[in-house]
Amino acid sequence: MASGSVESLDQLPAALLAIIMTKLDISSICSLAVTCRTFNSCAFHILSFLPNFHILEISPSMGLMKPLLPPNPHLKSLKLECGLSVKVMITNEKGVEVYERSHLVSTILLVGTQSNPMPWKKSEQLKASLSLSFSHFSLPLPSTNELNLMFDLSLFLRHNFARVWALASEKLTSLEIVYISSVMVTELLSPNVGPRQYPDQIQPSVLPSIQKLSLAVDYITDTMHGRLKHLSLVWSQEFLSTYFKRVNDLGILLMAEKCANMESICLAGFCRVTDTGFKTLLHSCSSLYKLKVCHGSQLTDLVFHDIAATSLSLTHVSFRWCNLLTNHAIRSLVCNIGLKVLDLRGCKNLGDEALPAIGFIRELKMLQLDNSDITDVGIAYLRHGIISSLISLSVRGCKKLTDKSISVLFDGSSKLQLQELDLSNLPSLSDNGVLTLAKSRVPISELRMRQCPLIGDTSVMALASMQVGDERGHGSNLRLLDLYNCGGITQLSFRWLKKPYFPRLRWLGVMGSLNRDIVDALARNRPYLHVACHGEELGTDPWNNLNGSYMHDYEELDELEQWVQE
Amino acid sequence: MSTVPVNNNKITLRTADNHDFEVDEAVAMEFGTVKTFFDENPDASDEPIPLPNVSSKCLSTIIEYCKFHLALRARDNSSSVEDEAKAYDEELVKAHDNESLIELILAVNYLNIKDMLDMLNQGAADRIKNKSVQYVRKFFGIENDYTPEEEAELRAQYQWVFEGVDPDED
Repeated sequence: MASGSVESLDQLPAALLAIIMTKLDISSICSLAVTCRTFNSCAFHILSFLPNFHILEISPSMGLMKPLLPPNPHLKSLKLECGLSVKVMITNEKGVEVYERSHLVSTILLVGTQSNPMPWKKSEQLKASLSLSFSHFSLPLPSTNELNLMFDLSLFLRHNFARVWALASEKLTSLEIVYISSVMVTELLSPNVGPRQYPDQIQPSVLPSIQKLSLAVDYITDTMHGRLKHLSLVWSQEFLSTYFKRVNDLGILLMAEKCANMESICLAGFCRVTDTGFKTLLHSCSSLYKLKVCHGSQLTDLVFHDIAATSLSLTHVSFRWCNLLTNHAIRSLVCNIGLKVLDLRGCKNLGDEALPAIGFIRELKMLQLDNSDITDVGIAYLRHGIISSLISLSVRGCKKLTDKSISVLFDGSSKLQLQELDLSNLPSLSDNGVLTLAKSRVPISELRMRQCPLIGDTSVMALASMQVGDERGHGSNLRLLDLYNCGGITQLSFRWLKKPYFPRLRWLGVMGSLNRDIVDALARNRPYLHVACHGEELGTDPWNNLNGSYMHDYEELDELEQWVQE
Repeated sequence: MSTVPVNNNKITLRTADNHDFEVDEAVAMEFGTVKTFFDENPDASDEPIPLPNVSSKCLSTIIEYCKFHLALRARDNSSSVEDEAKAYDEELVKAHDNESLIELILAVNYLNIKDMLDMLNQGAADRIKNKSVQYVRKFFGIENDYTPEEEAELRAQYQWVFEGVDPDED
């Protein structure tokens, strides 16, 4: 065999080719299919056993997807960027069947296995008519034992609802329901639901295997299941923050007592629960690894006072709008050094002194410090500690930050993995800061700079000419760029937003008051670009959003958790 | 091999271009093909083993890789060891251009070294991710056997894929 000659396809065994192809994403596989006939059949063959089918770059239509989804009994994870239309998809032993109903309920129903929970998104089209009949779906799906099933039942008539759950498979382990009234919850959890299948049984149990229960309710009762591992109780109305007024510490204590196996808890709107209640949760649920509290207006530092004494190893922590938390709490909290996600949005009393402690959390992937009191000085502590492991950083609304914070964080840092950066609502952030960002070659794919009055065309130009790594493309990594209401953006920027700049850009946020023709011209030039002109938030935020002042709901945390653990 | 006392047996490997490489037995046992050979012929340790599908350039790279990873594994399982291994692997892949990478993959496939093959395959996949059709053809050295009409039809079908693809390099 001659060495140094070009190896031809004949010599690269088909098995090796297939292995290399399975390591690619769907769009690359499709691209390979165009090269030659052998690859085409190889690609099609791979699509029939690929366990993960993700298309996140564009919003695929039915016609586009059908040829890409041959019957695939190994399909475990199906993720699609669904844009504004609503699709319903079920996997069964024959492969994937897709029902497209664009006039439908406001949530997308996606199904997968326990290990790859599906994200759900809320479309902007709230419709009252329900044409989805559950008789189409066989709820005990034959091909998977464990299901995540999420949907919006707000439009279901009450008597249908009970029947639906009687059909639910005994193997259902995870259930998330949004906008459900308290009466329905009682029906769900009480044993009187549905037709009696076993008249001899004294207490037929509904959803006996349920491990994860996520409900947005208006009233909580005492019925909880002992095997619950994940609990999310959210008071949610569209544009108001309201509270669970009747639940106080006693309720929480009871819950902690009954559900000691909890692994993740999300409590939003419990304004009467004090430190005692929260502390009990921390001390009795020893397997807890995810804790999320929103609007915990009585939550203070004392909760964390002796958190080191527990054996907790929290990985995801979120305390939003817990106004009484101070730096002291953070210092105690960081004894959980395995923290991966730390969300402290809206904790107005947090400042620079909390940051050195945060800098010690070596494996932190996601950090959100929106609306806190930090300054450039404090940010510097992140540089030496965690900036090389962070994947997502948000300092939205930290009004004291200036351009200096960008240079402090990114200048000269090597091996950055940061992909998402939110610099919105920073009145002192100017083009110079963005220039520094571009020069530092941070591999960001999502950049949000909403409502920054000093950001202008220079920033767009800087980002367009940013080169990351060895790639030749300009502005090559950015998939999402949000420049809504940035003071200095003019028509000039649009020249730099056209191809060939920003080749991967899929989401763009701009001011709608700019000349409509220009925006339309851009949309024509880039058919796969989603342009938002009305100030809506873009793309997908992996953290659950519970505040009505945002106009979109975001994906469930679990996707981030899963991705972070990859 | 960790339960057997370390012996200093050297094994000779002969490449396609008739170069002989002397390696420790432990390193040679990383090669699946060599290991199978010895399992079947336990007395053949003196003769040089012929490897007609492997060039000397490839073999020296492969031997270095195996030595390095063996030494790492002997140390401990800490995460810094993992980081070092990852860094070494990245450097290795980077140092090879597309042709030599394919050659290396073929050699490692023949020698049946699972971890290295997996790592190299991932490296190859990363190289062709999001690249143009022409690039991939050149990478694997394949001929386009589609008619222009067929190709145009396929490209139209997968138009969304070609939106974010890197431009052709010259």
